[in-house]
Amino acid sequence: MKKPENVPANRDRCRCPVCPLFTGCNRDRSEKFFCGAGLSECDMDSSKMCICGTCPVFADYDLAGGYFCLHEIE
Amino acid sequence: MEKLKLVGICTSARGRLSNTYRLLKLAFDALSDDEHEKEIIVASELRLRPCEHHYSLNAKMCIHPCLITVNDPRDEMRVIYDGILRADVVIFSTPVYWGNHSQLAQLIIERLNSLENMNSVHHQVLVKNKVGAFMILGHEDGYQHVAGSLMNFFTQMGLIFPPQAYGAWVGESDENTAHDRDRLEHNENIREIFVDAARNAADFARALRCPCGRGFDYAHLSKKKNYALPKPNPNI
Repeated sequence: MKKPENVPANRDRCRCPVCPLFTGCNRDRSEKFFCGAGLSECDMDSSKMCICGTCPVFADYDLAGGYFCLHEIE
Repeated sequence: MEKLKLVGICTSARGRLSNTYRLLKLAFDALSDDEHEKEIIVASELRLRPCEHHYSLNAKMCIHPCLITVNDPRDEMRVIYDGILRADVVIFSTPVYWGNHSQLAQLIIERLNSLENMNSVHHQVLVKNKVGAFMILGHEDGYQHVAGSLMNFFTQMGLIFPPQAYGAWVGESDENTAHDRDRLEHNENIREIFVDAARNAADFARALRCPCGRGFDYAHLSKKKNYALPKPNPNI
């Protein structure tokens, strides 16, 4: 699985800010685009429903799984 | 010859107190220890979170190990995943509740969707060369419907079935299943139904393992999802 490139064209399409897991902590740290930029430094609640699969970046890079804020793509 | 590995999965909410468990154990006990390595997983003793259906957001989110298993160290579905993946024979046992398999059976089936999905969506065949069978126990009726439902899922998951792949028995219209215990344990005709189901599955697995002395190795790549997967819905 190829890690998406951390470039504006991808970051601008990122849906992390509308994800149920996304919190004020992420906003304060200007975190998003975890599949390309790496893990969150905030406490993320994995019992909430991840929406990575609804993101155009997920489709374009043929990603699988989700919760990329918690599990980094190597 | 290497022992056949049998795993039985009891999905009665009453666990080891249930007739479903007793019949599964009785059938496993009837198979020789010399030829069989036997393990019964009592699902009601595990902490199992329901499937969260990430699949329905995007089928590619449903992977193995399941995202719940990966995220929640308290979830014990891994016991069932690993049990199935190391087994030669998987025997799934369920009571009949209101004409259907148990809610625990349904929870497990939905969580096992990750194994099925690895083939049909991700094109990795994780479940292969494994024989399946069912044990179904209930009252009044419904076992053929349950057998059909279970067969529907487990063949898609990748199990192979022998002829007459399930043993089933339903008692009379009497809600007190405690009345059945003595009959189930001592009536030879009823016992034989379930012992035969386990033995039939084990014999079939043994036959598959040794055609002309060669190991059986058959993998079928599922075409079930052989259509364009839906684009992500940006409105979700």
